[in-house]
Amino acid sequence: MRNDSSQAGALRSYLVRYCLDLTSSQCDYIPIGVIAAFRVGPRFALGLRVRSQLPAQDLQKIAKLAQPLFSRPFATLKIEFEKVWEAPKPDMAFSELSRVGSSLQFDSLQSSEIRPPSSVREFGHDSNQLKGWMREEVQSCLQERFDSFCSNIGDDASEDFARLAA
Amino acid sequence: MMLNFRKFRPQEDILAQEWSSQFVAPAVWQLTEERLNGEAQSRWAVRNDGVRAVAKPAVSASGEVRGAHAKNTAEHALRCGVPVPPVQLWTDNSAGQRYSLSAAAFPQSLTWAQAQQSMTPEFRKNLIPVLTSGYVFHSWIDDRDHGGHPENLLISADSSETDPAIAIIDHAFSLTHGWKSGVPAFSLLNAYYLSSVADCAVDVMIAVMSQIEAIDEGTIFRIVNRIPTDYLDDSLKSLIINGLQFRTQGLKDAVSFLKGESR
Repeated sequence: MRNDSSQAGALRSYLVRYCLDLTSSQCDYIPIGVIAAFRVGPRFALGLRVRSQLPAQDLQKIAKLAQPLFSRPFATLKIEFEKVWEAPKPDMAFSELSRVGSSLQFDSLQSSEIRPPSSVREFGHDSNQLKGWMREEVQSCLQERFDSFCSNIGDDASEDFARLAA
Repeated sequence: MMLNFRKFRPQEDILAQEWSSQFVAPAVWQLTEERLNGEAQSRWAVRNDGVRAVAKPAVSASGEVRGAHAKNTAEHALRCGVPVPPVQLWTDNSAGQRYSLSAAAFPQSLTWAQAQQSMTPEFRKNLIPVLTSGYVFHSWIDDRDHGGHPENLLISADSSETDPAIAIIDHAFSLTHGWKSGVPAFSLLNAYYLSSVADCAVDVMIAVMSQIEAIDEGTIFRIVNRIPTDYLDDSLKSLIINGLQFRTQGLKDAVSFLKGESR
């Protein structure tokens, strides 16, 4: 990877949802949140936005062993977040979120390439300007995806978490 | 009477019987856009009646016969009462690509890693017999990817505490995967999902070993030879048949040893 801040960054995200019947193509899902990763050169940013809590009628549809995980969905998703963040290759760990066969599903959204604006590029990779710009891009992606994901359930209460590689 | 650790719903049991009589699926499946990332390039597939399965390329980029491993494993597990979900082979004629289809085991599942957060000590204790069955079976098929791999073991989220239901998935790295320079003698795996392999229930070990031992040579021969040659060529068929028979001999010695120890 070129070590210059003019190259485009790759912004990837997943919708996180709980599948109520893995065995059927007609299954219903409970929306949980959005997780996004942004790589620009050597710098990596990761963000998470999750519903604060699930309404009782949704929680009741979740089978017994999984219920404790979704009484506080943010805490559960933060574990997945930390797994990616602490991995030696976080990009690969992010890709592998969707490989598990569990009911907690990570559905990949189309990734986008975003080039840092010239006002940021001139400061290079170590700059606070680049970090700030990446953080804003991740947060805006999370907000947009989360709003559209949750718009049909009438629930916009969420908890956020974002980190940027030092 | 055979000890049976398969706790799938009747629908999945019926699927296992159906797929056991029909190794290769008819053209009633469609791949979906729901991709499961990762090295195996899996994705969900749907049958025309709505049944879902995970489709994985039957032959890897490096030429490994992963679909044949998955099918062999599922068929032998069915005969030993070990909870491996049903597998069928399928060719997507539109792209000429061969797949293994692994049925979704339960309506709701958690991975081993995810379930750690909500398992009680009682639940863990009651998992020991079924994990022991998997431990013995994986030792026999020389599986190299279940030594604690947190995503290759699923737990039904509907499990009762007294009778937990699990599904062991992904057997790409079993059988011939580790046999390129010969078949090693049978030995029990060094690591598994149990906190220590010393936690295994010895009576269950002996019972499952005896169930494996009871699979006669003719059955192994028939299972392996029913896999079409475009999924498994004749030389690899021979390797699997001879390898499993060789490892069964070692397993018999281990049973004798354990029976002596447990007396």
